[in-house]
Amino acid sequence: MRAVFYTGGQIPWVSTLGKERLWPLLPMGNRPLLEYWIDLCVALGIREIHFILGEGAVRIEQFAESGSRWGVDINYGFIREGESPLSYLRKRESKWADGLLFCSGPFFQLRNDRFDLEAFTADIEAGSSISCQMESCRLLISKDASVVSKFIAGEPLDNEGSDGFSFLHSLHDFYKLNMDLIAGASRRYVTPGYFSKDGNYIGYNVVIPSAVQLKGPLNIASNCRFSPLCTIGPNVVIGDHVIVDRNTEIADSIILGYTYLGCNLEIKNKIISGARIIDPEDGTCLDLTDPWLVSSSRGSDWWNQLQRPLGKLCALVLLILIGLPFALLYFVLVFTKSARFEARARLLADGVEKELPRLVVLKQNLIIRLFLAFSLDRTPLLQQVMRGKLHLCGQPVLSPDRMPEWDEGYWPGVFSYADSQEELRGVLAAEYYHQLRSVREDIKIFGDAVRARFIHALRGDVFSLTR
Amino acid sequence: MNVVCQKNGDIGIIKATGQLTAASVEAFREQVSSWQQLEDKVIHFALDMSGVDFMDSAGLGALIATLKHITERGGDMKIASLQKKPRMVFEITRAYKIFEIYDTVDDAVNSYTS
Repeated sequence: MRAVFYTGGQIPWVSTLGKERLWPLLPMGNRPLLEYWIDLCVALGIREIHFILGEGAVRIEQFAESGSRWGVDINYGFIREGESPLSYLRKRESKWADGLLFCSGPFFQLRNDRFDLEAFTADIEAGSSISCQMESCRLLISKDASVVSKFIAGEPLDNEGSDGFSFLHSLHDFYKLNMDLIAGASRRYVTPGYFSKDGNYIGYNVVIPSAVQLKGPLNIASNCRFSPLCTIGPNVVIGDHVIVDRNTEIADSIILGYTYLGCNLEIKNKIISGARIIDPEDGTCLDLTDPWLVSSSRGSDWWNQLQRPLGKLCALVLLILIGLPFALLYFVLVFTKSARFEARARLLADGVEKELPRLVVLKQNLIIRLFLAFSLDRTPLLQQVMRGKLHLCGQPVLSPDRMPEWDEGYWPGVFSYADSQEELRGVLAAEYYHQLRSVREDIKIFGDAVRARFIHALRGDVFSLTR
Repeated sequence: MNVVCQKNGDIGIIKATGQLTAASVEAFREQVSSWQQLEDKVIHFALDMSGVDFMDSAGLGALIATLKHITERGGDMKIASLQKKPRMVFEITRAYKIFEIYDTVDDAVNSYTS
């Protein structure tokens, strides 16, 4: 038996969530819809899966890759304009003779308390078929060659019925299914890779400060960040790369990936997709790119291309502004033997190891506090920005032995999350920046870093600033 | 942004039309403020939002500033006829805890007398 998924179909209600959203990757509880289908393939003993790709092909391929993590072999193909997915099947008809699982839309297998996966797979093995058509989307699971042949030929099948498979007709269906999953149904589905306790599912690299209150059941995907005093849950699904600012409360809602929620908000019974707020009851959408309320945490490519030249320009302005104060105060520091620069091996943006100056405080006094309050210790690093070896804002400049195994996306900056957020240091801060890099994040990092360093220095906490 | 102010008894009715955003809040503030100077005896207001189809944080900030100005004079401003989209902004920002919100202008006006 083989499986074929057509991922390119347009589902009207999905476009409400934003043109970049793909129905196969929409979250159902803690995982994309497509992953539930791949799991079902594994349960049915299917080892060969074909994806017929359409819009968003790259993202589907990035998600599923070769299929090795599920132990299946995934092949990718396209259909020509004007061709239907069935014509793809017809051209390779002999392949499906020993059974076919075909899905071309947002169908979802509902598993209630009485659902028995072994009994379901045994039924399919014994020759039972499931087939149904909803709008332009089709579903077939059958090992019967004659049924498969009829299906491929486009002939009507006997006893068509969804048999435990639900079709998501609307945003309301999507919202309701997610709320059902989060309210307890998730345990009936395999949930690999997530921390699970008391019905809560939390992915990787999620920063939850001590003052954040989590009220399960909830699902939080990977690379999310919460500011202090947030209340998350009950009944919340949060996608990848979501940032929630302080004092914000979320309940009975779905927050899709790459969303930024501002501070002191109350999100209840809503779907938030980037800068779009959606009422799942009637589908009302409010597009509100407002950095005080909601916005997308994914910068546009156009803006991101400006990051490097903008960073250089800002570094030049900073050098002009602080060059003279740096020279004067550093002379005093050296003269009074209060501090000195020491060279430490660091990795630059081009991957070359180089010794960069780092301030070592020998004794505290007013001058050193002023020096650090205005971030004058970063002046030598600004010169590296002008040379293109560092960026103004980015990941912490890592030492060669702390470089993580990923070899892409190293973007070392003079200022980073580590300057303003205690919980985000080293590799973790690097990972966040890798996921969220944008001009908007750079502005936030710079503002937060300068402010936090100023406050720390005035408080006399100079040693933490020069760690 | 078009703002029309009129008196209904002792209550000032402010009818706003258009989008209440960063681009239009200044016009809103100026028109409300100049009418308040002309009608300085009016301290209670009802803001008719039936013609406002979009607002952002700047718009909400202008409403809060106007409310603050009015309450400093011992009055109040109640919101009426919110459309769905501005209502969503009121919901997510908890602004419904600051303003009294009514379905119609009449309800808002009657709330002062009752």
